[in-house]
Amino acid sequence: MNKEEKILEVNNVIYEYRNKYQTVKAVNDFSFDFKRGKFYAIVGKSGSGKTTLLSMLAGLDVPKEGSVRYSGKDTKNIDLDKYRRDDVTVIYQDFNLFPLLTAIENVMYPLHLKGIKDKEAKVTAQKMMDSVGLDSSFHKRLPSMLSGGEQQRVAIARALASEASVILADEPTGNLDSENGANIIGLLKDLAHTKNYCVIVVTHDLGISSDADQVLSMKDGKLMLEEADKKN
Amino acid sequence: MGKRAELYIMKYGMTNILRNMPKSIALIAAALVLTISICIISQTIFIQRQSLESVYTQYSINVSIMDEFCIDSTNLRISSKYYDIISQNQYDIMEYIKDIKVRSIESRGIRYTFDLNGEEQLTGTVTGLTYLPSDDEFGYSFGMLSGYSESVLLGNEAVCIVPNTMLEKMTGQKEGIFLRQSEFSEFVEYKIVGTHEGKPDDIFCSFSSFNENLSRDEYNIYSFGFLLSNAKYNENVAEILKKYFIEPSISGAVTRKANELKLPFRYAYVMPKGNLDDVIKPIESDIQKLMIVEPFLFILSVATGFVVSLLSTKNRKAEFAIMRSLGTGKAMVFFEAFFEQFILSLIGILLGIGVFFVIYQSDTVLVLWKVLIFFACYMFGTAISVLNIAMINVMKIMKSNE
Repeated sequence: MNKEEKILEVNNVIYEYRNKYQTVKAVNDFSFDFKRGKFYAIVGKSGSGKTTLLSMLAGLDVPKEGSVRYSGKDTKNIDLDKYRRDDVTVIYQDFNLFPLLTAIENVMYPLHLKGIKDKEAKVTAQKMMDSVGLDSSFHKRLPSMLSGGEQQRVAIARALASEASVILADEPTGNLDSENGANIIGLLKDLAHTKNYCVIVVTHDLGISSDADQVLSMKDGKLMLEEADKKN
Repeated sequence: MGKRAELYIMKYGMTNILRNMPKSIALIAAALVLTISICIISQTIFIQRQSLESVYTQYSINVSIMDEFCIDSTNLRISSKYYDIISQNQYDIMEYIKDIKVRSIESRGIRYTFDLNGEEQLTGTVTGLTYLPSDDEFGYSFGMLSGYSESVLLGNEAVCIVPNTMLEKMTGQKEGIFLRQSEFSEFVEYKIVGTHEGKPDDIFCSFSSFNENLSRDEYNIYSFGFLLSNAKYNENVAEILKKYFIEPSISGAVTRKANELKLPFRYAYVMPKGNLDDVIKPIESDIQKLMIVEPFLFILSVATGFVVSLLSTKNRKAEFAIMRSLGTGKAMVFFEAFFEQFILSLIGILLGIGVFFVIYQSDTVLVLWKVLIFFACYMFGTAISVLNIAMINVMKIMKSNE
């Protein structure tokens, strides 16, 4: 696998919201190529179109114009459910764990969706939880019994369990204290650099942008500033 | 997504049910209460219908044909064609009418003999009957010979009731006599099935055979009546009778045009219902009210299914959104939410049926059909609500976090 392989190509993407009174271009002619093994930060003020862009990268919607291509395939022409199951995963600010499933059951969810047997899914989930620093004492706890940082680690473990190549994170540290936030960012960065994931973080936090390999700044749906790749 | 994934989604649903007991119990209770209500209403309708049926079967109506002024029910001299309407069962009413009482005009001077080969021919008076008269009717008693019942008079068989004295005179073979209408017609053998204590030359025979062999003209019915054994059909029978007879009314208006037999409307039918209406009207009214409530309850079931599902999934939008974002298809999200509601409703309904049968000691399987309809309505309402959940806009929920 080419470490610098383009995994997500965003070409002239336009996304509009229409209401009774006006049409708002949430994403306006955005183009960028995301590569494996990189940690990207997309920054911008509220309403700049970051989350809309993330939704299209996550296959939750498709552009009105332009294209998002995953491994060369236009997301308009693929099964988006399968795409979200196998190729891309999202980590949210609110962690979004299933409240009635234990930590390990949450991690096993994407594995079950893929049809993996319970025993096998459990072993994989345990490994993923270990890899984010959650030992077996956390396995049977419900999300309500975990701290914010622990919940976000479970969410990351769940993202890893899906074996997707692209990890999208929407304000992953937004509900965490600075220490936990830094740990999570460190973890994501490590995943990009050592496990060859393409990690894209949408954030307000300028501290995160300093950790990113490349920072994309958005304003009014447009890519305003594209910092040079710090790794190159 | 494979079968294993589908099974997992069911397991996920069961986990949700078991780990959120207060909500599960509330949903079960809603279905239980509605089920018991449906069962009670259905059972009440069933009982009311049974009691109505019982009133109808216990309530017999004596229908009689009278002259056009409804004064006299005898010596009518009406056409035997009217009897054919009933005897040929033209309107399929034989199953709920009984005691058909048709008596003919007396036919005098009928020739009879006991033995075609020797005995002297005698003359007598013959009357056709479909019933065994009471002692009051002719002033003397009638009886059937052993082995025969009254019903034989209603049939087409040539049978007769002869005076006791005649039977005593008969020697040798005592099974029948030979009757003919005039010296120009053939003798027909009539089997003796009964005796009477009246005049020595008065003979009674089955009306059909009288009409066929011994009557001198078509207008030979002296009196005509029958018993309507199930009052439920009184309207049906009245509708049929109106085609042939005058419907009695206070105004006394009489229709003069020809009836269905192409004969003038000259006779009226009298169908005294007594207090039948007073007895059945309150029961029918109760049934009608319940029948109005019943479909309303089914509509309510759809609404309840919708609202209950809406409330129980209202706070789970983020959960369904995350399911979708992890690659769970819309159909599978629908299935998961629907499955949970299905299981909880099913438990509620089964418990409701159980409670109903224990408390009311009912053995009516009919209510189960109503419960099944209720279940279908309830799940329909649930499906509409859950469909809304499956169509959730994941992006919108994500944006709400921005």
